Amino acid sequence: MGARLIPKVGRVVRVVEEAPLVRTYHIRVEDLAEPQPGQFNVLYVKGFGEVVISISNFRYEGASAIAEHTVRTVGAVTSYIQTALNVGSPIGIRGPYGRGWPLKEFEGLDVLVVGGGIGLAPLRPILKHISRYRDRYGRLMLLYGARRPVDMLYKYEYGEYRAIPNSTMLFSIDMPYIGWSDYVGFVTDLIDRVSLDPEATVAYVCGPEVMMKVAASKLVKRGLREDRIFLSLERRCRCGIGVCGTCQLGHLFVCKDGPVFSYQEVKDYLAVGGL
Amino acid sequence: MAAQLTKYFKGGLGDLRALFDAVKNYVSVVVGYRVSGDAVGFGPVESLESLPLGLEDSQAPGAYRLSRGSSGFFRHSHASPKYWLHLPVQEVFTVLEDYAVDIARYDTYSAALFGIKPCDLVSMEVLDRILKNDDSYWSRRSKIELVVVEECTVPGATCFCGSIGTGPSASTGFDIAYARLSNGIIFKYGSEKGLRILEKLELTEVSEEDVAEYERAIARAGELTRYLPPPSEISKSLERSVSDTSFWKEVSSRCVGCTNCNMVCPTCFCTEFVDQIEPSGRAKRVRQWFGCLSHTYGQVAGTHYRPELYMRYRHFVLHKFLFYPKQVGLVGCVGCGRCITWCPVGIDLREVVSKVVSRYGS
Repeated sequence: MGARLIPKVGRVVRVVEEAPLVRTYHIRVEDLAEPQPGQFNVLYVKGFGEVVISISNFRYEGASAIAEHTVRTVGAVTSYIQTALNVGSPIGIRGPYGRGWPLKEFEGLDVLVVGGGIGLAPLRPILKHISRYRDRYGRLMLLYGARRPVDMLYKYEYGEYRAIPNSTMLFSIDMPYIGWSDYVGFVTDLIDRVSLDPEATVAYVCGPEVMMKVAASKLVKRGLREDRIFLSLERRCRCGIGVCGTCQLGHLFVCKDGPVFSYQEVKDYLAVGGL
Repeated sequence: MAAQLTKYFKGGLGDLRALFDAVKNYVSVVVGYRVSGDAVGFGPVESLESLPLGLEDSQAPGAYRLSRGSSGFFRHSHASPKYWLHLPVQEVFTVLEDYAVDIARYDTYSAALFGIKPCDLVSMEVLDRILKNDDSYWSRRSKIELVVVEECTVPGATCFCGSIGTGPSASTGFDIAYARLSNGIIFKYGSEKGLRILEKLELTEVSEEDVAEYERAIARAGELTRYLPPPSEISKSLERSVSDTSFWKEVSSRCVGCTNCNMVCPTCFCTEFVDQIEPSGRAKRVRQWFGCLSHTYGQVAGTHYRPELYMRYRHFVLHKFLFYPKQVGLVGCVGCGRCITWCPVGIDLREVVSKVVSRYGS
């Protein structure tokens, strides 16, 4: 009874340093359903509460699931995770929840992935998916920006991404940095630097909301269809199953109708502050 | 006309008592508006004496008074069926010292609702739909085996069910409804189960005059509560008003963000989760009501998606008339007027909605 809101107890089996205040936690747990790219889990630490974190990678090891969650220290729960959780620590986990990136529907199209900062975390499963099923998609373009080079996630995997055939990777940082030879400026500027076939491209975007709005409107100007631009939104998510009500964006529940929405579905709501 | 007459029965206070006893025999617990000390809440009702039958409430924007008197007519208090079905505070689970998760168990006894108002009856249909995945809600909702409604022949000063179509009479979703008139009580059934119970009481047949008087009383109450344009017109106007920041700032200028409206609203369902840490090292995970007027509604670590009060007030109004219909196919406002009565500064939702329609209506 009430199983929907009850966490399973898993263990941290690996911690990867990603960037200042950002680590990826590999959590081993029994009986966790396989997520779709872009879905999230709700992590729980005793006495502090829950936090909604996207699933940045997932695999099975025997009967156990290993879910990877990239966590940045922002609030009480994430601070506690960063300071107190190590390999072997118990952690509550429930999920997967939400609507992920629609990938199957767009097989055959070119794929543009635009990420800002920690926003690369929910996009990472797309890169893994396309790498695995390379022949099902057209060109892959990854545009990724962070404040500083040191803030970039999954640096240890860039070689793997670059090795994906027929792919382009462009990187940006916000301010000049010694040794940085790629673009300096907003990640959305990079949209002007890729050649796009607007009739045959699907875009997956995640980052700060203002960055996603700029990216989406630029892509629309480039001729992409609004129902082929997907954003992964953040709101105050608590339950993950559409019963607590606090993640509402207009009539949409970000936790169950999203977190991934087409730009067409949410553009009117995003245009009004505080809706 | 003859077919319609079979729908109704007539009786007196003694028959209401007999009905209460019959209902009480039917289930483990009868629940309704309950006199508790000098106030009226919502919970288990032991006998007819615990119902607020002898009380009169007087309501106005920002004002609520209760008085005693045999001729009184009670509408409602701050408490709606939400208090029983969607508990204000509920335990979800406890995490023990060794991190084992102890799941909270729900009570599972059959219950009947007795004497609830038509507006509150509709609010349950709204909650049923919005909380369809909520195990805790359904653990209690599914145990409601019988619903007895008291129709409103004397509406209150903040009531506007006639505008929404949620009152003053009950149309579906109940087993038995009764209306108190000057010369007796009219009973009607809404289900076969309700009919079987009514048939066992010693009720008399109604005359055509009885039915006519009942219909007049309901029509009069409907007129008295018809302040607003139809809900579809309200929705359309609201949709056009969404980005009018100065309008929403103006209509919410007196709001203090106390969330009273959320707490008393029979269809406000939002909840927040908190961990209560015990000295032993256990942590109890508790779910409690949370309102969109709260200053933290929309706040996350690192940012706030509804930082200004007008945004949160706008959400309250939009959700009832614009978003609820899109989410569950029903208007989320049932016209009970509680948010008007229990607002400490007396902000009148009817006025706000009227302003929206006069500015943005077609």
